[in-house]
Amino acid sequence: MFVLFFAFFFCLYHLLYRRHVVQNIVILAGSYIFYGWWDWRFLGLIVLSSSVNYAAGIGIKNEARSGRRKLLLAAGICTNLGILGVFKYYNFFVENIFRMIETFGFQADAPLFNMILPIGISFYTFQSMAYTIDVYRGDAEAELNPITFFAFISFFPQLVSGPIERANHLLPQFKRPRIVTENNVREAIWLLCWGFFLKEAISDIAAVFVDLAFTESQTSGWMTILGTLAFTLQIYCDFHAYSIIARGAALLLGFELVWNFNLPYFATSVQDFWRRWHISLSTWLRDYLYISLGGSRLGRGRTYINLMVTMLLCGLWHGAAWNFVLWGLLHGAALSIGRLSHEARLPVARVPGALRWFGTMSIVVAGWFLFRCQSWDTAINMLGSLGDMAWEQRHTSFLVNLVALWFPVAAIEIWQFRKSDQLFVLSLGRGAYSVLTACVFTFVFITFRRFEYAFIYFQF
Amino acid sequence: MRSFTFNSETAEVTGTAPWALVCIIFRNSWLIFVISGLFIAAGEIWSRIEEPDMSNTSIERIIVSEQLERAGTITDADIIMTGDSSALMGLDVVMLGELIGGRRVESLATIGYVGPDAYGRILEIFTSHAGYTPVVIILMHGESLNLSEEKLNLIPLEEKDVKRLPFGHEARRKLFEDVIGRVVSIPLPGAYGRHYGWPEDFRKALRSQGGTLTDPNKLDANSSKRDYEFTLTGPVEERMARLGEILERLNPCHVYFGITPLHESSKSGITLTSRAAVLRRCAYLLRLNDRNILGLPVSMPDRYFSTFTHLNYEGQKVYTSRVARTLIELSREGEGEVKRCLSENR
Repeated sequence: MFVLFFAFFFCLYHLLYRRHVVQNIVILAGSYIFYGWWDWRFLGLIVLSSSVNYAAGIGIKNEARSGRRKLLLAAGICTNLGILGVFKYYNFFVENIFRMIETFGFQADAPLFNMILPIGISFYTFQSMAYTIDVYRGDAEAELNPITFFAFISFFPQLVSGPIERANHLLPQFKRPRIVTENNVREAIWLLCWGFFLKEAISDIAAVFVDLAFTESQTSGWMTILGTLAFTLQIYCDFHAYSIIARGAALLLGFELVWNFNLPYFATSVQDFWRRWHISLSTWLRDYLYISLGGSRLGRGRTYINLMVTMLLCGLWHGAAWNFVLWGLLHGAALSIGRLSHEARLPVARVPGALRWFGTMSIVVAGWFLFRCQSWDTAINMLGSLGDMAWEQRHTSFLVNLVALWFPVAAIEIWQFRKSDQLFVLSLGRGAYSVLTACVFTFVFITFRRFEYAFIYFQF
Repeated sequence: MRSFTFNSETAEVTGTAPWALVCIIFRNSWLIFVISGLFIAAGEIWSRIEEPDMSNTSIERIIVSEQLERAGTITDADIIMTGDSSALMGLDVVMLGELIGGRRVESLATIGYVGPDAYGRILEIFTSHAGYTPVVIILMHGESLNLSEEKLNLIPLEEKDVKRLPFGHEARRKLFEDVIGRVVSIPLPGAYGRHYGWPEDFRKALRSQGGTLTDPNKLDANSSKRDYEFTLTGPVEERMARLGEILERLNPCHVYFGITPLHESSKSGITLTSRAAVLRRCAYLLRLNDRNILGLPVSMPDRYFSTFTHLNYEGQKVYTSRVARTLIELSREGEGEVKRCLSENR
């Protein structure tokens, strides 16, 4: 459906190449149609978030009094947090408060809402919040043109799963003509092919193995370990795929989105991992949360608290559930320990790189286990299964399949890592580039819509 | 190549012109499409030279191909149980055999979509291989009696009858099976994958349980249908009559027909009257007497089901006991006729 929608949009959009202002109207209309196609009722939320932050931005720009500026900033932030609070976190918090009350012997029915989570809500609310904060801080100009601003918030290639763009990077691109160069097209073709390959041929097949392992009745420790490794592959390929498809699609429209991933599984520390994984979120949290909390400026103890709070909220950003809280706390603790060892001048740098990589990946993979467990029962049973480490025939099948799925991703990424260039493919000769892209495209053709798993990050 | 235009009259920079963009895209993609086209065409030709192995492409195909294989290999069966997936998942034939006095019961049940005549063709394979036709029990669910012609053509009994897909799709299937399938063996989807694992494990389970399986799904509360009414569609009637002809030809000394249970919550007055009418009609088409209709429970508590048509593990045990009791009663009423029949056949 997206392919058809994009093809139609692409033609209409480029026919209007003389007037980029008109193209912005088409982007806005197309983005709202794209979002409304899923559920038109939630269009109101984007309009609300965009309207309040648009007005807040102009208000902050025109207001000289500090108190009023703060009030406008608070209005922008509260609207977004309010939307998130009601639609994403209300049930979680109310349910847990009532459960806590029940432990004191009081009985009451929690007033829960029966509602679905609006798709992409965490992405666009964070993007519009960042805009208002940037305007307040003077890091971005307030946008006066409502069409430009609303199109910036709802830009459909990155609307539902990011990357979370900053105003000073994406907004100026809406104000100039869209130039699509030879290099843009070459890059876009590769990114679209590689992105769909990662999604259809790797992530969705890995998902079948993950489903096999992550079950309440799991009794095999090896299935738990292999299943978690399969999920490590699945979540990366799934989210990275979305991010590069979004970048590729945006390039074809004359926009450049930020890179959201930079070979995260090559990280040799958890801090390094967060510089490479979901970069647009980790930098958002650093710039607007960690630094706002005081960062490392308020003493050692406060720094660790800030790290833990930031990662706890990072976990909650992913979903209103305890497994995400635990996942965030695990990363927060790992980041704190990393910082502590740095401050204590422990000779971490002398530890062989392979060992540091292994240690980092152990934490990351353990984190993915928490991330994937959808219930306490599943988590407890799967952890309990680690007591049974008998190797069976099916584990060999699982392992062989896992290696086969990891292989193409690892091969390309090792190449990218060695060349320090995610787009090294573009530097290949015309023949080699075409053969490699054609192979990838053929695999996409073979596997397209075979398993039909939705992108994991759509739920966030 | 010009990547943007400069309008001299208005001195305004504009974006990339569509024709320029088309040229850029064409220049950068034609070779990719040509090479991919060659790969896909090779896959298409390959699929014409060597038919893709369809036997593992879906759970339904695995069941059908495995039961066809078993029909040509099993021996010494006292009773053959056949029918749709409610029969396949509803009975534990090993337990049934023990409950009716240590008889060997084998299931050749498949799925509803192959149609009743396919059950007859599978029986023919057994008979031509084993040299006799044992007591035959046919069990079907109301849903399998209500299938349209289109649904009955969805899953052909034999692989050679599987329809070829349009150009490109066949290459997709072939390349998936023979390129990706050789590197990555995909487990069964969903609950079946979690319970059974890979297609080969599924086949092993089917073989080890005498041709029956357990549905590992958990019941969706919304799967129940209220005031269920039994209907026998024209296409099913036709195929049922063909099954009757086959049975007459094979001449087993006893054929029993029964309808598998519904959810308790689906039962109403109309359910009972329509069920009785459909049973009578089926008996007529299969050329059976009323005595050959199994008096099986119309419904069972919803908790015994894993889907609308399939029983779960617990339900399977309870239902098997009920079927065993019915067979024992029939055997008594028939003054040992069934026992005699069993010994004559062997």
